[in-house]
Amino acid sequence: MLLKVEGLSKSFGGLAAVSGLDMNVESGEIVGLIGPNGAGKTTIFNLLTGAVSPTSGKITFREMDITGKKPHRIAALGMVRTFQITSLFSSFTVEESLVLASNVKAGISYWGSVFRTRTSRAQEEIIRARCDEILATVGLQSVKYANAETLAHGHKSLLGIATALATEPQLLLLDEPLAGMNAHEVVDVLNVIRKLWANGTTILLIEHNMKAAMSLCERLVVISYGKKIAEGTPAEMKANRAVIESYLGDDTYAA
Amino acid sequence: MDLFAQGIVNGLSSAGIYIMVALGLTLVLSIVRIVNMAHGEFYMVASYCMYYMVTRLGLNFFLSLVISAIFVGGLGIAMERFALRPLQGNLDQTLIVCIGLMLALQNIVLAIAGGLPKSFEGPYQGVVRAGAIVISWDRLLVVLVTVLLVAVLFVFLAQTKTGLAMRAIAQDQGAASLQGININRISATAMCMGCGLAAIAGAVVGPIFAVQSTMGSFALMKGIAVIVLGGLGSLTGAVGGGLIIGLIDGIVPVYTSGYLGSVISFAMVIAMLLIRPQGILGHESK
Amino acid sequence: MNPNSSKRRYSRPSVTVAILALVCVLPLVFRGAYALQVLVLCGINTVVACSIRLINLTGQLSLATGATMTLGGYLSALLALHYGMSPWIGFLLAATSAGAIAGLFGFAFVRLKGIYFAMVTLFFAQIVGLVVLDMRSLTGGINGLPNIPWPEGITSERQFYYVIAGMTVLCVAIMFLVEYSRLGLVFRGIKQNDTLCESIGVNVYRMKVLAFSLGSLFTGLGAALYGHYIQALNPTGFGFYFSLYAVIYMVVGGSGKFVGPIVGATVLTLANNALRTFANFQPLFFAGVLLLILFLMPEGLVGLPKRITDAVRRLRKWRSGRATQG
Repeated sequence: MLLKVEGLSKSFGGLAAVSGLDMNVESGEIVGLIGPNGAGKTTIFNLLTGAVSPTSGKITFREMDITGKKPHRIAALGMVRTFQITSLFSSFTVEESLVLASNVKAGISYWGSVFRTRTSRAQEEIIRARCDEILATVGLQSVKYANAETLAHGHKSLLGIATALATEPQLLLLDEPLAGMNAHEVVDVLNVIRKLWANGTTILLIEHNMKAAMSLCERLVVISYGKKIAEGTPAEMKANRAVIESYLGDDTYAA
Repeated sequence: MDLFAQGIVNGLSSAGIYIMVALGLTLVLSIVRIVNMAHGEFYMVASYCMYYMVTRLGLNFFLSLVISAIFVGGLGIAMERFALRPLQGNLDQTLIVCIGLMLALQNIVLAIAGGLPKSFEGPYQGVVRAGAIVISWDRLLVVLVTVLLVAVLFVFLAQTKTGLAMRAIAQDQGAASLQGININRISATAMCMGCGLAAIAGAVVGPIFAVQSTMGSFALMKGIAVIVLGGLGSLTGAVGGGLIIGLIDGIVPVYTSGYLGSVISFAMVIAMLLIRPQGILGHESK
Repeated sequence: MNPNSSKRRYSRPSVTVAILALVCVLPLVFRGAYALQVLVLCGINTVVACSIRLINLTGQLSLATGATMTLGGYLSALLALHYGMSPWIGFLLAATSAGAIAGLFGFAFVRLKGIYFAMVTLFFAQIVGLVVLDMRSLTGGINGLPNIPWPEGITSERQFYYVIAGMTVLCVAIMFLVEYSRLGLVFRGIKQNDTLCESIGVNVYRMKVLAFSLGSLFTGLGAALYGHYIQALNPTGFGFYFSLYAVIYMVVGGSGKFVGPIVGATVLTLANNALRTFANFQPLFFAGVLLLILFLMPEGLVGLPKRITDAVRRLRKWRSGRATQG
């Protein structure tokens, strides 16, 4: 089991954002975390990645207890996320963003890089090649030298995914990768996510676009008011009473 | 034991100064959203104004105090309007502008008034005795003024419309402007009040310590120590932090060199940063 | 290679060679101990300004320069005076100690962001100044340390100038390499989006301390070099004001480009020297220049060539517009 979540809870002041969450993700799966707005899905991501420390519960990743660890430690272990409001290095080019992310994982020697040793130059070549591969997978080769800020919305989301990919994650957490996209962009991004999964990346994604989530994910976990209310295949979820009811209060389900 | 008690009494008057300076700094940082490096210079300018008015023009102490506070408050409004607002939002640049203004103010005053320390007399002479403890009227005045100002400030923020507006802006500027609050006007008011607080502190400190162009930097450093300890953005923290730092500065000279008080404060700041970076009463910021 | 990266009219290597040649030739043109001292000061200020930029790559503005320079300068001088240690070793120790001490304190300072970091480092500079002033028996208090020896083998000011010039070039070169290396990339990434950096595995906290420590190392070295050159040190020399001046050099020159601090430090040092009869007004002069630059040319002096060419272009357009109307 790649990721195991037991009894995870988080309260802010008196408000319980997440209560008693039990959840697993196996290696190679693509799992969707869905639920109406404000259900606590992004908070769960924050808890998993260490940005927020849980009030109680346990998170086990790759057989290690990562509860309460710092975000950069968890990222180094292989759980990397993207952000709902796409977070970028605004004055870096697309290539620079990927190179930075790759460096961290590759454990490149910073001092070697400063003094341009032969080893570091060789490493840099390898990383550059890897980044080109990622750009190809994600479909951003054409904007390789463009400034991240100038990208179209869809491309920005892809850049976020590519940046996370560059760290060679074991578990990729995608936070609403399709948010705010037109139909064309949605298709592009969905294809990329499918490709990643086919290549063996384990994916846990939050998505508000129901059609997309259902078509993409093998398994869905449904959250409402911070609690898991159902879990199963998309077909099962479509027929599940509790799931339907939790969404009836939410207008966007009309998608 | 007497010396220790005397140290506490002296420390309270130092605390008063630091509290006023820190409150001003906190007001400006919460509402105008800048940490004003030149804050100490307003304190210093007010002190010099007092010197000129009280000794050269022979004006009444309290009248001079009010004039100084208004003058310095005006300087603050001018600074906010002409130096800070044009650089809206750009934190790096506002920091550097404040550095420039700090340097400029300090040296303009130095050029006008010269480098020799000055002093002037407080409104009441003599001392008050309570048992074996002696407190000069000058120091007692500082404490009284501080208590009065803190009370007025807290009431103002809690009860008046402007005060509520300020608290709203401190919490969430965007939401406040959506509610129809005139950010520019309230920022200017906050700046005026913050600088006014520094000015009053500078005015009442003159009879106790020498008036010189470097006193502003000294006050600023104390102010920073207070807000880091007490909590960035917390007014109550400023009062608490000010008490701690002030008492340290009052008690330490009884036993050893005075400057060690600053070193101890610095060490406390370091410790606080390592243990709880947001200060005792500060909010966790991200 | 990024096709968009170089839009320079003159290639970088040729400019560098030209500057190096200039540096070598200068002492032959400007003879005399006083002129050399000014040039040496240019070099030291350049190193210091560049180190402020280095630390600023991670988004932090350090005002600890006064502290790290006082520490480095005094350490080297004291080792030479009291233990007869060779200044060559003293320079090395000054640099590493300044860097190490800054690193240690940095673990606390870096917990604060932006302006608060600047304030706390300024506090640090003040405290170091106070302590040095007070430890009279060791540091000579307000009178400072006189008769600091030259390093062995140096027999003239000009020789020492070449040594310092060489060290300046070396320091600037290292800082340049850092900025354009993967390390520099991480620093710049932290400045732009430290949350994103954290989420891809960068230990932002440690990197910020590293930047602070590294920059302070160079300022410590600069102070040691200068102290031994002028053979005297006092606590007000590298105090509180120096922290501010270091930032002013960077901002006036232009904080956005690598050469900015070099330009700023050189121009301001020379200008200050030209106005030396008004030495008392130096702080005011610097403050004035800083404010002018901030409001009129925020990109710094490095933006001057572009402004001039833009103005000339607009003038030409206006003139040709007038001609066609005529």
